[in-house]
Amino acid sequence: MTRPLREQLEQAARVEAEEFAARVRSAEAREAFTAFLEKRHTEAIHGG
Amino acid sequence: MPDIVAERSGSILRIQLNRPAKKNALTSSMYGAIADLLDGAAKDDRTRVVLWHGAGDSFTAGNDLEDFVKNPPGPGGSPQARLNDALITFTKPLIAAVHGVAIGSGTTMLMYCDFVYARESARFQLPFINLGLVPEFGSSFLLPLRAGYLRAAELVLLGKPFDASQAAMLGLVTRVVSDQTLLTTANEVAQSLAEKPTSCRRASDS
Repeated sequence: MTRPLREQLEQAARVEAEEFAARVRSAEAREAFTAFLEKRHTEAIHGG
Repeated sequence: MPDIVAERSGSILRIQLNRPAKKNALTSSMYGAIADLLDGAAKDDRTRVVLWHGAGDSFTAGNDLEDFVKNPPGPGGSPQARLNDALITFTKPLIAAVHGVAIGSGTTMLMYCDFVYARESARFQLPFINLGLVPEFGSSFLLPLRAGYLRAAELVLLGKPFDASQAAMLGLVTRVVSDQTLLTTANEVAQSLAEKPTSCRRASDS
């Protein structure tokens, strides 16, 4: 990877990390996590 | 056994994600451990190549959501951010051998590898949108670069799984290999890279 790309990548990763940190604490994400974990739990019990 | 197993053989460091009962789902401590290993390998002249693979039936299912809920990554200084920094600055060849599932960060982290070999049966996915999240590990930058904007948009905005041949077509996988030859292929490439002159390789990468 070339050095100029690394600088752009670092900048993109910083912006993403800030957005990700906000989203991961959002009600929408919490609800999605809960639904995913409950579905997996149900599948584990019922072999789905 | 630890969740991350590292073993250096000659000048090749092998990092195995070792949580097979959870399809090697990554906890914050695992992200931190991989970051430490890469930082250590970067400084260790004995290590010339890193080969990354998963134990059991998968590469990795990505973030362990139970751990994720307990330890959500913050805006700075999280283990995920440390690993992202380590991947960005790592200049030695990084090889991934992918089988089973490579979901979420299991796919995004591959974009930092110089060589990615995948079994025919491997499955990939960027499910962030389904979880109310945005892409991570710099993938919003790297994916359009690899796959082009339209293909990247489809993967990110629909969050559907895709197979190894599609991953190769998108530029996320170097080569799809038979289910029997994955680790052999990755090991042969690692050995071949380890024998190349280090200074020329570094100059080629800068």
